[in-house]
Amino acid sequence: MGLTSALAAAATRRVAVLVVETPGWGRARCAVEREVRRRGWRAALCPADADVLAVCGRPGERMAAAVDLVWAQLPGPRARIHLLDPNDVAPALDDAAAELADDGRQRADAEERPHDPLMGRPAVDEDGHEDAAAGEDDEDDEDDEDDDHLGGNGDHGDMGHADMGHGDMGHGDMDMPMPGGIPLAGGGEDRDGLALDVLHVPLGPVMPHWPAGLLLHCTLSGDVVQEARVEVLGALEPAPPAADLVHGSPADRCDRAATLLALSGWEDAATGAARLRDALLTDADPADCRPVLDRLARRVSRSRSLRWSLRDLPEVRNHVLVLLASAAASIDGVPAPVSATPLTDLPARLAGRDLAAVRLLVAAAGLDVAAAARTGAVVA
Amino acid sequence: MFLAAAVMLVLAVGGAAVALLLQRWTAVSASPLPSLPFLSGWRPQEHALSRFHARYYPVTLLFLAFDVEMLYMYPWATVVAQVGVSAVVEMFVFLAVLMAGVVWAWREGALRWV
Amino acid sequence: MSVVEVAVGWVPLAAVLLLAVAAAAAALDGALAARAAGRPWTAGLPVPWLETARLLRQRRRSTVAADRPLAATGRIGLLIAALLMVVVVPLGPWTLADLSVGIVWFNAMDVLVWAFVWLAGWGPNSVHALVGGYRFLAQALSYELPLMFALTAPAVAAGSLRLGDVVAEQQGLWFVVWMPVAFAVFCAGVAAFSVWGPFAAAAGPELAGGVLAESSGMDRWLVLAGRWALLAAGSAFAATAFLGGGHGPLLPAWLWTLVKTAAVLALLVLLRRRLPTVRPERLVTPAWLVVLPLVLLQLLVVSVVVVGRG
Repeated sequence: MGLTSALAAAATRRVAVLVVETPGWGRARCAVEREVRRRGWRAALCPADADVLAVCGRPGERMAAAVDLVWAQLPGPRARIHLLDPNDVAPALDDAAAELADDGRQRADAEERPHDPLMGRPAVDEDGHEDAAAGEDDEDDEDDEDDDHLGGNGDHGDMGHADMGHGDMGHGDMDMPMPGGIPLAGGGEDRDGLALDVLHVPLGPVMPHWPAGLLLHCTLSGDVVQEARVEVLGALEPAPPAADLVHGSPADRCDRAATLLALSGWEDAATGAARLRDALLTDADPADCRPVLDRLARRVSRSRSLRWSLRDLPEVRNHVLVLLASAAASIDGVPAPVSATPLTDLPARLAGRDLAAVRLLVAAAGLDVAAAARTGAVVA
Repeated sequence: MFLAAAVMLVLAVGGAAVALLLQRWTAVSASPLPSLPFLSGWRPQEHALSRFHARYYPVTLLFLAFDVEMLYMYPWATVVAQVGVSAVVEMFVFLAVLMAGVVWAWREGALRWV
Repeated sequence: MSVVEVAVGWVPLAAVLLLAVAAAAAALDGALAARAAGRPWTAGLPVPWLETARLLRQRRRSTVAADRPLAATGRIGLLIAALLMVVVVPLGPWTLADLSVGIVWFNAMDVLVWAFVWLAGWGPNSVHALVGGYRFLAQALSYELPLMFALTAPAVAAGSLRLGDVVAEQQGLWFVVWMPVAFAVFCAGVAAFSVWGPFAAAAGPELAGGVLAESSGMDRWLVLAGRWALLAAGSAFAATAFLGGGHGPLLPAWLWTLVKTAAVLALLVLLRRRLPTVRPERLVTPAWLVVLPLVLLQLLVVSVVVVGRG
């Protein structure tokens, strides 16, 4: 047992946390990121990489289903925490670490988990054809999006289904082999006229460095997004206004810059922007942050490698620079608006770009998904 | 001469196998967790393994031409000093022809795939 | 200084040494990351050990309808390729195998990485991993040729593909002095075949971890350790082929090899902090139109010097 507990003690000194933000609960997410950094833990990029699933805010029905599926994909040892108040973050992470270190509990959890993978549900559309494949779990999807905001009836009954043949019920071609109950990819013409396969890939809502609540239905040919459609998944109940970053505030700008820098692979600059954001959220005097912000902005604008790497996506680099400049301006009390793409315009901007570029372009679009979630606007 | 390489190969494969076995003791569960692939919390609509459109296939052809050239390059490298000027001239004329191909492919847009 | 082959019994020691150097590089990286996060740099030093402990405890995963043998091959392959690389790299006066085709051997191992990374991406039956695997191939098409021609330069200068001869030829003058372009390109190639730093697009945050997106536990450890080991093996090769290997004053030859390897490795780790990820589609044009001709020019210079020397 000596080795087991020593291993557990070492392992829980560097915990990987997968953070999920519900639209409107940005402050809780920032608080988690700050505390994770302070402890020398790190953010996870995917469930396979994560020990802790930290859910910020109260997700609506469909988003909650997505979170449940991701929770089932964490390999374990695993712990799940739920956060509403930024002040609760530190004790919640303490609890999570204690839970992770409890070897008996983690072994029992692993023992209890089902032997078949949890199948979750498809990222269902309003237009119906994907609903057919979903079999019985589409009752909430045929209604309109209001369900997401009312929270449905909290019925996650379909989550328990692990039956592998589940998906083939409504599907036309029964001849097709369906390993694991999932159909094989079908062909489609791509832009070079090659008859290769097309994949339907949902991006969001559970994805690091992704706008909270955004769900992008992508049709992929190779790694190129042929077509995209936008949806917004809302919270169970509207978040109190104080729970989110103020849209356009210096902290919000730094937060968005940190996301973009992280996606462009510049870890140190992203950390710098995130530290600035956290200082702006906590410190009494934002003017103290000005010199640091200026240094970061200079460093980013001078980086030749960043300019070169993003030359075919100039709007991405521009957006980072504009974000940092406007953060500085608004600290000084000068209003500095940043251009924002309406959600409806997003698909047209993304068609024909590769998956990695799409991630950068979405982060650089200056979206205000939380506002769309508040008004209940689900963009088709 | 290749004995050391063979021993290293056995050691490396054996080491990886031992590491995977060791994990059966140290991990919270000996069996792997069955899981769907990560798709932001949704069930995949189809399997990811598919006929993938590798947009850069023109570059692969260009690469192949140069890669075959490497077969000559290594033996050539060992005899440059002995053969002298003619070896250098012949090889670099050949490389220049290949580079002309690269420039042509570039002008045809084979190096851009966005 | 001549390089002599040692008994096969030393193979395990070489493997341990490579892993130790790789762990040291990961520790340095952890220290730099800790400093960037506003924590004392010493707090980041144990990162490789803590990650190892974490992954030892973590359960492995198997995704639905995954191609398990292929995924496993890809995941353990990186570490195997790195270990096979160091077979031909001399530590001061000793080497495990002074192959007459040592440089080709190293080249062959780095080409194996293509297959391994792609397999690690293909195997799990996951979109993010799959796209990551193909992205690595796109990157490989750009870095491999410059890397190969950079490797040829020391061979031409030494008139041999044997690393022992390459080291012996550098008595007095290291190759880096008159083939700096080949050295720089080779170092970039090392980072690229290690799927690391600015060349980590196949496993980046923009693909939710890419080829790593579905692996956990020991599977993940093998890939991460394999990447660091590849970086360490490549640095050791750079130290040998360009920085004179064991040549140097005062210190024993084996220590010189280690010091030079550590220097190349530290340089790469430090440089990485300043650089964003290079998108593979951005890499292809400069790699073929600028870097490749530059390396060929370097090779021409080397050839002319060799012929001129008679």
